[in-house]
Amino acid sequence: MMKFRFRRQSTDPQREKIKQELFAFKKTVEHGFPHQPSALAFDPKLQLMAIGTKSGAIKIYGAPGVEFTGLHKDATAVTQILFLPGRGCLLSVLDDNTIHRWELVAESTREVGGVKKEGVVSLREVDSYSLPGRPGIESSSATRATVLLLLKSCDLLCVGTEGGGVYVLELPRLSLKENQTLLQDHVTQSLPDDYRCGKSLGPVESLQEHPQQAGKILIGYSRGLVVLWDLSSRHADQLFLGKQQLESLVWERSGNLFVSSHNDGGYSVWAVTNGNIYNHQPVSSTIPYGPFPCKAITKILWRTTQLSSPVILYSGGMPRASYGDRHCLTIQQDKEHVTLDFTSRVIDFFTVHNMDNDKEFDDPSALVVLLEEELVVIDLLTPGWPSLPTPYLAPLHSSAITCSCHVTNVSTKLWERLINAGKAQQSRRHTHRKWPICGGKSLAPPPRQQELLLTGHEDGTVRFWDASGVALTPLYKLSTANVFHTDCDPIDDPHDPCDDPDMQQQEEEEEWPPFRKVGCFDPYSDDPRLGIQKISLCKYSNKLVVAGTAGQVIVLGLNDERSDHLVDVSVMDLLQDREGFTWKGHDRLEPRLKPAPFLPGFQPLVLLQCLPPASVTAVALHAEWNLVAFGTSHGFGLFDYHRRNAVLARCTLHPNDSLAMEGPLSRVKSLKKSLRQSFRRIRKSRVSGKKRAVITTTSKVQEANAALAEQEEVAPVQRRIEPRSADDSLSGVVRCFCFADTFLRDGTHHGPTLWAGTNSGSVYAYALEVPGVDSGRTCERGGASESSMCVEAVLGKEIQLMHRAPVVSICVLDGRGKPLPDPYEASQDLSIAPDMTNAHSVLIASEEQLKVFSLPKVSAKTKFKLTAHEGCRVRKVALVLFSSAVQEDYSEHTLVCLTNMGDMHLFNMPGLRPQVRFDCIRKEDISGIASCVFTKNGQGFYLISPSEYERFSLSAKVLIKPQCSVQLLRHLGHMFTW
Amino acid sequence: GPHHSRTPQDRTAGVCVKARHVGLKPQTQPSHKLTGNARFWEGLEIINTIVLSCFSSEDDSSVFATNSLQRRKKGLALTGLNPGATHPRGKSGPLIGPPQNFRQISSIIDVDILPEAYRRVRLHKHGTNKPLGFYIRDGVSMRVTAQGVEKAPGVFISRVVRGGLAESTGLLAVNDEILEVNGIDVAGKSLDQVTAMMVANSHNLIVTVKPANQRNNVNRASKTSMGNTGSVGSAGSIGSALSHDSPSPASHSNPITARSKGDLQLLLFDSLNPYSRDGARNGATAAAAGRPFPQSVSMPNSMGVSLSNSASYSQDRNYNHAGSSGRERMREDGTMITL
Repeated sequence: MMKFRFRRQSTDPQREKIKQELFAFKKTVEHGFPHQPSALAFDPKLQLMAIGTKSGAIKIYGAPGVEFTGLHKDATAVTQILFLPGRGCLLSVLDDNTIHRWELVAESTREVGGVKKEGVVSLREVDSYSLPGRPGIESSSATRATVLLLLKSCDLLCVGTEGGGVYVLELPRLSLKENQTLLQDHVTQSLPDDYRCGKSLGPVESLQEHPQQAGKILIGYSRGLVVLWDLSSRHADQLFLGKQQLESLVWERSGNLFVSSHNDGGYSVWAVTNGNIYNHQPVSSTIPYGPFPCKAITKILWRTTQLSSPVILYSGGMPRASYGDRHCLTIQQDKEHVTLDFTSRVIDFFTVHNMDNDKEFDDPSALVVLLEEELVVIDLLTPGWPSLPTPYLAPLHSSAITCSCHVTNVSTKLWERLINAGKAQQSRRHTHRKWPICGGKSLAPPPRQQELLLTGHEDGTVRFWDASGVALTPLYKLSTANVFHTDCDPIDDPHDPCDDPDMQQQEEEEEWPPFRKVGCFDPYSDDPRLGIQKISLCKYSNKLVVAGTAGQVIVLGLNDERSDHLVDVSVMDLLQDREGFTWKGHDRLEPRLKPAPFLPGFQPLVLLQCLPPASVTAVALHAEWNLVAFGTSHGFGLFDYHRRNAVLARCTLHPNDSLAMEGPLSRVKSLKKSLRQSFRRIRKSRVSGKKRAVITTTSKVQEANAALAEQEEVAPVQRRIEPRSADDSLSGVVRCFCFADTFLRDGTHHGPTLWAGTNSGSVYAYALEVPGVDSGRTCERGGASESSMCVEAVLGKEIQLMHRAPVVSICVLDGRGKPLPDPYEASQDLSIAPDMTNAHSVLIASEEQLKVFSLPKVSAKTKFKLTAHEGCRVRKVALVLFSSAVQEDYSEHTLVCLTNMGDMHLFNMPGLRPQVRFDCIRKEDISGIASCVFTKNGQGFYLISPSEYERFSLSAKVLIKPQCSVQLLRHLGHMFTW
Repeated sequence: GPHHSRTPQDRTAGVCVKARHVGLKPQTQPSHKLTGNARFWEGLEIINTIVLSCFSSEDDSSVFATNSLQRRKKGLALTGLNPGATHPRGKSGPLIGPPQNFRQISSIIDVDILPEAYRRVRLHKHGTNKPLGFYIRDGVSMRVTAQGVEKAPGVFISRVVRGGLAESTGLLAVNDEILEVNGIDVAGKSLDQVTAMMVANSHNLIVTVKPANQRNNVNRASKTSMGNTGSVGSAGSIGSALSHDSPSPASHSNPITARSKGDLQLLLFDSLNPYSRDGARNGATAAAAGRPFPQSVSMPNSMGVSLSNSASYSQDRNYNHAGSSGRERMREDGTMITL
């Protein structure tokens, strides 16, 4: 109506078709460990494991590459999962007292090109059932489900409740069998008077089916009573009058024994002998970590073995005073006793063991423990019970992720060297036995190329992940902490105690309980200054640059041998001679003065220390020129690591910028404050939205607090409208670099250049003189030997973007408008040679606009004002090569833009015409947007929780997603007849 | 001008009166300028009301600084009627300076194509030290649709900073609803998005608002407007509106358009002679080839608010204003159709 500017919509059908062949958005797979797991189950027939989460997700894992994901409609915590073994069917119980039935549904097998293709299986919710009495209504909390038992026949589901009743539901309809309900009164009647003593038996804590006699179940009540109940005759076979508060029950395989675990940290073994109906005493009773008060044993398993005594596994039971805060699981067999000491809470665990009815013994092969932050698998067949590396569910967040970097198409040689370096790192307590959960079959084609995902962490480590397929697997871990002298340095030699059998022995003799640290989740960083901020890897020269929170920039090279050497240190003052500035932030990290032992893998060559030691905000590596560029909030530098020579240091700090000298701490404080305010706002809006009629508990203090909070936020949310100014804080932050062989001085001579962009919309372009690099100029200085010459940098152009928005990315385009190839690619004929005959151009992407300028004159050729049009700001930018899904050899270079609204805008190059837009990340998910990283072929990753990457694809051709089949038994007959 | 009265947020009306006092002749081009006490002479209305432009003098920043101080001291004592009384330099009357001492700071544009209830304002923030000086907030907009009155989320001006560009134009006021930013509809956009759009366009910001106070609307036809005075040649406004793209005097176009065209300013260093010198020349010519700014069109003043109100720039001005305009809005919603 009122528009005075119309954007022309391209409606060319030919172009639309090409776009469809190039671009398609899909979230393909979640890598990492599910956030806040709450339930675990295992199907021994199909060899599948299911994990439920607090947000209502169900994830099923089998052999590496076999993954299924389902999400309940309501984001309610999954409290229990039950498999119907072998049928590809499972039940989930949610916190809202509902049961949901899920099925693995297979597409019919189809023939493609004469080859019979197995149907791809997916997980679907097929039915749900609400148990009587939903939570929230107080009167019915008695019917709240506490435990569930699915009978082996798979036709009945027993539900134990808070009120002590046991209900029986018929499958598959989940209909209640009224006449089967067992209420507590019924049990109480048959109790001896002295045991009854008028008290309730408490909630049902455990339901276990008799291993040999179908239809008989063991019911354990909280107060300690255990009943062996016959479902068909509806009468109690035996009563076990336990007096300790009950936590869990488990049958011995034969059915002659069962074990109960208790609140006081003890467990009891009960004999099930025919004859007397009342059993007053267990056969044996033990408090393993007594005699002082212990915490409850929450779950116990009892597994028989053919060759030796049974293996007892239980969680908890730690002495309350000394180790009450530990998260432990004990494995015991005869004299062997190990207390696995985890860094996070034990959610649940199971054993992989012999389920064959013909076999007499359990003979467990593996223990699978689901912890709050990781999955740990213990090999029970190998003496010493070593742990097994997990092929998936990697705890990405073992130390908090601080940055990431993706490398496509890694050569087999580098790949193998990384794998070998990784193997050398694994401690002896790992075994390489086959992964015990091996159900299903991955139908996904083998990865076309090897892809590396590098994650930088708060503890100064960089982890290398195999991101080629569905399962993200760890390859190698690099630690940068040993470059520095830190407080926690153990006698200057990180000597692994497990390398030394004597020490190990000693340790075990000394300590009780016999703790063993297991797992790799370690949320505590020794020194936050070690945190990795930027990573750059050259896959051709195997040079790596990592930069961190305290202004450290480390150049590393790959070495297959262990090496003890001293790392060269070079200090770069980025303030130059600016006076009147005092850095108020953290100190630099002290470099280690003695030679340090470095394991095979990436070993540090040079440490560059920026001063002031502010966090590094950008790095770039040009290994062919032996140059590394790095920037902080104060300026940037260029270093020749081959000649160990500082080429350039440039201060970008604005004279009035005091915030840049504060260091990160003060900003954290203000962030906290603003967070607090926004929470208050949310809380307030919620309260007012619901219009609660009755305020239940109102103390004077609360009222006063509320009034105070109200006062603090009188000012409504309003935004100031002002142009960005040169005086804005942190305007000097260096945001990006670009190395390019291009035309900066004139249109006929090209040569090495370095481009740097800052937060205030400044772009600095330097012409570099790199000895040995043919700059195309005729006046090459003859005579002087190459090694004696230094790299020189001359400022060629300084560009100030009028709108002063931060420069997000700079990229030089060749004569055809295509991005210049990476270092080595041109010189070693690894890619199509860049067009050096026609005029080059440079793409400068700021938070507000995308612009292509011609070179060398830097005049605007094309532009797109994204913020002016859409109101969104550019957060991440990548130049991606999209290949057509239909035409074999057709591809287009496309600019992908992630905005602060979480959407992806795709633009053609160099025309900058909008192609498509996809909603990708929720705009509220700031850490998700900040963590997003693109691959060069149109995929990407972003964090959906501290421990999970969502993988997505923007390409219609390149996508890696789980495609798997499962051999389901239910197709053999009718679904619910066994 | 007895037929001119003032509105609280519109000081240009007062300026207009003064302009006639000093004896300016009606003009169709904004070639005559006022100078002197910039505090009072920021605006100028050409008498035949074909053009209303707000100008401020080049040395505005320094004059403004002293005057803003004065104002703070004197507070309510200031009136638009008697500038001599508060003139910092005593009794000397307003002086008229040469045209190049002035630059355009705002204009109403596109009157011919906009519904009467809307106002499209261009703020020229070129080289001034003055901040744009306004804030925006979320709010609820009432719209009349076929289904009846509908509430929709909207973005409103929440605060106009004293001494800022927005205030000095008198064309934007608290509770005005933002409808477009540089021609882009803001419906469905969040406060942060609208903020980003405005900041991105801040060097040449064109906002279309639905003023909270509907009495100062451009009276396009000779129909009597709501505020009803309209005597000041409003019949001529259509013709003038159509001429809004006509070129302005060259003396103005240079400082303004050099920036409205180029968002990129090149600072080229001659360390790499001769190439950079070449580039500098090019950059400069590119930047200089500007597009002329649209000529402004008039806004006939409509009235009915007492002078004492207009003079009271007290701290709580915004709140007072918000209160009164809120009432007005409620009334208007019944009669106005907004799409």
